[in-house]
Amino acid sequence: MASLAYNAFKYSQLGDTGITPINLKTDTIKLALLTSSYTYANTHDFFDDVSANEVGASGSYATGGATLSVTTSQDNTDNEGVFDATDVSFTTATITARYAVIYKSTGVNSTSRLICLIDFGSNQSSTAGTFTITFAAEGILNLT
Amino acid sequence: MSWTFGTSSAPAQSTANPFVQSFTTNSADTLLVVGIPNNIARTGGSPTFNGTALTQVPAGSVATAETSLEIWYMINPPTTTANVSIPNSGASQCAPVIATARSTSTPVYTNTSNATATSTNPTVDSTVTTPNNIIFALAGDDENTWSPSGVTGTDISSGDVANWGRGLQYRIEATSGTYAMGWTDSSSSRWAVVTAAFTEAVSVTVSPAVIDIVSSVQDPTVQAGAIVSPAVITVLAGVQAPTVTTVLPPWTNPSKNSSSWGNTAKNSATWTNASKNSSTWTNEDKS
Repeated sequence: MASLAYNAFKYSQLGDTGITPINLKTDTIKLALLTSSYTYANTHDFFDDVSANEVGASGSYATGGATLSVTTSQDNTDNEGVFDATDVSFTTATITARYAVIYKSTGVNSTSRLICLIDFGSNQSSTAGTFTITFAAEGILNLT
Repeated sequence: MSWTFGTSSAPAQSTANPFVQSFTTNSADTLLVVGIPNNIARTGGSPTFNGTALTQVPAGSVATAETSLEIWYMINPPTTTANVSIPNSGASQCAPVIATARSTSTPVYTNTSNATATSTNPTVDSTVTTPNNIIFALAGDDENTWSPSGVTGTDISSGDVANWGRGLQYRIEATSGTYAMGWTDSSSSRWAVVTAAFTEAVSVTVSPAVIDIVSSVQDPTVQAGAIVSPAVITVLAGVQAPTVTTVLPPWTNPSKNSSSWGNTAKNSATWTNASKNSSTWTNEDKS
């Protein structure tokens, strides 16, 4: 499965009655790690759709993942909007993860809207070590 | 990444307080393990190496009627020759076995297991869930002349101590799994075994590619002729020119006899006879 943006995120950004678009800069945006047991569905819209597949807490990784330090920008060279964040590290962690999911955290899983799913391509493991996710130079999401 | 065994020391038992044994570590050593079997529960506190306290595996002490077992360890011990000092305020028979191991990254304690029974072949399983493990097992046996004939791993020191016995062995296992840590002993007796498993710290860095969300504008369908271009309606506001009528006052006869008419004027050359004699002039007027 390739990395993707959830349909629910695309839709919410257009706005609708009862739906407030996510402000990627000012809302609380978190990254959580999922095991290979997760199966994507295009109907998945909130964190409670994926939380059963989250890796266990270990080291500095707590349930629900970590809050991202986000930047957004306009790239007039590539003609796109860029959503990026500071690289994430979980220390002294024993983790085996296949996916990372980024979502807007409301503190309630059933209202925390999913943004995108990152597929590592295979299980990635740390043992009492540091699990680091280094985002690409072009960021996490590009709206082209 | 893998483990290798370092060096060991198995001094004779002593009731001294503290029990002191000099030990030399190698610069490659990343783990120091001290198995402490006693005939009764030891008292007095934490053992030290080079003055630094060791860490006890969470199992604490595992005991039989005549033995009490503890495993202590230190991650990345200093490279030196120094004393292993074991408090022994109860003057128990203390017979430690000291060993080191070497890993390519920082050692991490993972788990412990223990068992006690009265039987032949003291044994306990150690289940590890990570790769790259070294598992130590410490045994105590109540048998007066304990002399096991084999071990499931690699023996460091196993044999009789006074009227009881001790043993320390290790296994290096590259994969996760359940591994038996046992001694072959044909004589049935009371025994206890405690294990301590260590792995190597492994870090990972993941560099995902950026996700593109392509936004497109769909061209609308335009029906020819549907576009109506209405003519411009111009409303002019005009100013209508008024009709001007001038009303002159009428001629009256008295004016002809007015004193403003003089003879000279009447006979002037500008008057032609014809005009003077015009029928439009009455005689009265000409005179």
